[in-house]
Amino acid sequence: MRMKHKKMTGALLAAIMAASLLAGCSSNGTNHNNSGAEPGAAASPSATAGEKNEAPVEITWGIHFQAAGVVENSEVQKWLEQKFNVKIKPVKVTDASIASGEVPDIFMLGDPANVSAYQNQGVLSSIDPSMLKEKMPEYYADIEKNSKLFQTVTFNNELWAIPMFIDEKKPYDLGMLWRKDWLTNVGIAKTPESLEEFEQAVYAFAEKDPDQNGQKDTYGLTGTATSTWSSGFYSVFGAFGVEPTMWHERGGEIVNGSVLPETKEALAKLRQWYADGVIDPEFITDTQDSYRKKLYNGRIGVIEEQIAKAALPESATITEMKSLNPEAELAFAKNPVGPGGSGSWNWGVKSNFVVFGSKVADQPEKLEKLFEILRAQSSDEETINMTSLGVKGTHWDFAESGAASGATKFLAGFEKQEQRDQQGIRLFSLGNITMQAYREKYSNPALHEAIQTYSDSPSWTDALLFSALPSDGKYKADLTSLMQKYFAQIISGEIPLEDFDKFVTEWKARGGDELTKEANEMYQAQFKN
Amino acid sequence: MKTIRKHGELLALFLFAFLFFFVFKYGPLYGVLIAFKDFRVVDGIWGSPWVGLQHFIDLFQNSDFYRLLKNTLLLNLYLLLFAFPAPIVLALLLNEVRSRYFQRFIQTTMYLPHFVSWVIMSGLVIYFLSPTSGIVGEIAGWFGQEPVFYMGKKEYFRPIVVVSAILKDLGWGSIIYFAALAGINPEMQESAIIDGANRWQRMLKINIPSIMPTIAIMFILSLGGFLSANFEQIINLLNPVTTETGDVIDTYVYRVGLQQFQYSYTAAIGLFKSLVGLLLILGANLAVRKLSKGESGLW
Repeated sequence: MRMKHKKMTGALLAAIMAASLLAGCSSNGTNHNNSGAEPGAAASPSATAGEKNEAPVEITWGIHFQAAGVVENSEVQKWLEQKFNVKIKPVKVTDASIASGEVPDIFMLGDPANVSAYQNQGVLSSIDPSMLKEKMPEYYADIEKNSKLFQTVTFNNELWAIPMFIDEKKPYDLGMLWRKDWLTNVGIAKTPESLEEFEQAVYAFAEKDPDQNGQKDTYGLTGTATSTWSSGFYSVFGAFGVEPTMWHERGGEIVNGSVLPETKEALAKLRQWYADGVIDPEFITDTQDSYRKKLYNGRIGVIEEQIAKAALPESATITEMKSLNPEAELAFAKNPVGPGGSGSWNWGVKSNFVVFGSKVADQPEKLEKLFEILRAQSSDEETINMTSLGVKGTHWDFAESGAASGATKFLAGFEKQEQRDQQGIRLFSLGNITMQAYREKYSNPALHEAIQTYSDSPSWTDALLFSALPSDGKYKADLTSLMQKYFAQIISGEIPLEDFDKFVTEWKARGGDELTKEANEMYQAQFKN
Repeated sequence: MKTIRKHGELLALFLFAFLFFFVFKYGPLYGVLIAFKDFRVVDGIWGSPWVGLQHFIDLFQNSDFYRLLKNTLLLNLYLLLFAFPAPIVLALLLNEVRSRYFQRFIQTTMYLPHFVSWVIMSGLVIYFLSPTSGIVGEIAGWFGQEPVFYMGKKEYFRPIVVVSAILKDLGWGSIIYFAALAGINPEMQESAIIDGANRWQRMLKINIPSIMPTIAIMFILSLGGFLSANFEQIINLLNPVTTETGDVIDTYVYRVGLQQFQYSYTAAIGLFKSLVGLLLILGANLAVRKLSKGESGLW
C-alpha cells in the first residue's frame, strides 16, 4: 500500500513537473530559461549549509511579480551572491507553482488578500515582529509610523508578512488628463474643477465637434467595465464621496461603497451622460488596455491617469500622445469636486508585502541571511541601487549630470524594463522597503511638487487599508461581479435606475451583510483610533 | 513469456501509449480526491482533511448554480445544433466543387482562423460589432438601419458565441469529413452516375451515408465535452452586461476558484462536469448503436 502510494505521488509529480514546465515556457516566451521546473531543487538545501560556516546559504527567490520571467545568473544575482555569500535560485511565483508545493523562501505579494489566501494554504512562515525590529532597526523606525499596516497582514494574532509603505500622497495617485486643445476648441479656457464644469466639458466634447473634423465621432469619456471596476469613473464616484467595493467609514460605522445612496446618485449621473451620448457606449467592452488608446486616437477627451504618468512634460502618457499625435495638447488637473468632495481610487499608504516561505521557519541560518539582505535592501544605498537601478554610469545616472541626488534616468540600452530585467535589475528588488531617507535623496523635486499639487489623498481610500476579511474568499469575487453587472446595465439604460435598490438587497443577501459585519468587527478591533 | 517474445514489437509500441495515458491521464486521477477534501498546499493531497460531499452540497445550494447550468446547457445546445453540422455541410458542398484549385484554396484559407487565439479573435469580434466603428454597423447603415451594440445586449451573446465559433473552427472541423469523403469508393459514384443519379441524389444516397459513421463518432466525442463550453472564447467575449446569459460553469470556476485558491471546490465542479459528460457519452453511444443496429458507435 505504501509503495503504491509512493509510486502514485511519483507519477503525479512527474505530471506536475511537465505541466509547470509547459506553463513556464508559454508564459515567458522571451526568456530561454523557465521558472517552474525542477521542484526537487527547491527543497531544503540547508543540510549542507549548516555544516560549514563558509558554505553559501541557498535561497529560492521569487522574482518581482511584474517581471515576465526568470533570468538566471544575471549580473545583479551574481553581485548579491557574492556580497552576501548566498546562492540564489530565482523563480517565478504563480498560483500554480504554489499549488504544486514549490514555495520560494522569499517573495512579494500585492495585497493583504493574497497574503491571507497564501497563509490559508499554509505556505507562509509567520514573522516575529520583535525580530523584525531587531534585524531591521532603520526600516522598523519608518514602518512604525504606519503601524496599522501590520494589522492588515496579522491573522490568528501572528504577523505573516513584512508590510511596505508609501507616502499618503504618491506618484500613482490619480488625477484627470484633459485634451487641452479640445477644451480650447469648444471654448473652455480653464481645465474643469467642479463636477458641473466637468460635465459641461464632456458634453461639449460629445456635441461640439472638438476635433473640428465636421463629424460627430467623439465622446467625453469612457470606462473599463470589462477588466476592472472601473477606471474611467472612479473620479465621478469620488465626486459623490464613494468608491464602489471600498469600505468607507460613516459616523463610526463601516459601510461598503457599492451600496450607498451616493453610489446611486453617481450612477444616475453616469446614466444621464450615457443616454446623452457623452460616455462611449464601448465602455462596456473597453479594457485597461484600450483605455488610453481611446485618448491617443482622439475618440475621448479626458482620462483618469496617474500623476507620475501625466503631470510632467516628460511623463510616459504625455510623450506617447506627442509621438502619436504631435498636434494634441494635454493638461493635467485635479479630480472634479462634487457634492461629496473629490477624489479617486486611492491605495493609501499600503504598498506590497514581503513574505517568507513556510520552510524558512525551520532554518534559522537562512532566516538570518534573509534579514541581512532585507536590511541592506532597506538601508544600504549600494544594495538598493544595485537591485533597483543597476550600475551607475552603465545602467543609470542622475538626471542632472554630475548631481549626487534627485531624479534618476536609465541610460541608452536600458530604458525599457525588459532590457533591465535581462541584467537582473528589478528581479530581486523589493521596491518600497527602502527607508525614508533614501527615498528623499532620490526623489524628483518636480514630480514631488506635482504630487503635492494634484493628489487628493487620502480621498478615497479603504477604511480597512484593503485588509482581507475572513469571508472575502467566499463572497468577494461574486459580489464584485454582481456589482459590475448591475452598474453596467444601469449606466447603459438596460435596466431602470430603481433596480439599484434590487441590487442592494441582492448584494446584502448574497454575503454583503456578513462581510459588512466582519468589516465592522475588524474596524473596531484594529483600526479605530 | 512466449507471447511476450512473439509480440514484442507490438507490446513496445503499446508501452508508449500506456505510459502516456498513465502519466498524463490515470496518474493525475489521484488528484480528484481533493474534491472530497479540504485541500491545503502544505498538507498535500493525501494529508488534507476529508470533508465528504460538502463541496458538492455547496455547489448545488449555490443560488447561481442553476443559472450557470442553464447558460452552459443552452450555449452548448446551440453549439451542437449549429456549430456541429456546419463543417459537415462545408465538406459536402466543397466536395462538389469541380475546380480542385478552388477547392484547395477555400480549404486552406478556412483553416487559418483556427490558428488565431481567442484573445485576438474576440478582439476582432468586438471590433467588428462595435456600433460606432464596426463593419457590421456600417453595413447595417447602408440599409438605413440604426447600428446595434451587439456586445452590449445580453440577448445577443449566445448567437455571437455560436457564430464566432463557427467562423473560427469551420475549416478545421471539416478536415476529418474531407478525409471521410475522400475514402468513398469512386466506383459507387460511377455506377450511380451511370444509373442517372444527379448530384443531389448522390449526396443524399452515397456521400452522407458513407460518412455517417464518422459523424456519429464525432457527435459522441463532442458530447463528452458538453459542459466544457469553449472557456477561452467565452471569457474573452464576456462583459458585465452579458454575464446574465453568458456566465458559464467554467468562467465561474475561474472567477471564484482559481483566483482564490479554492481548489477543492473547483475540483468538485470539474468532477461533476466530467460525470455529466460521461453519462452523455454513454447515452449517445447507446443511442447510436441502437439506431445503426450495432454497426456504428465507439464500442
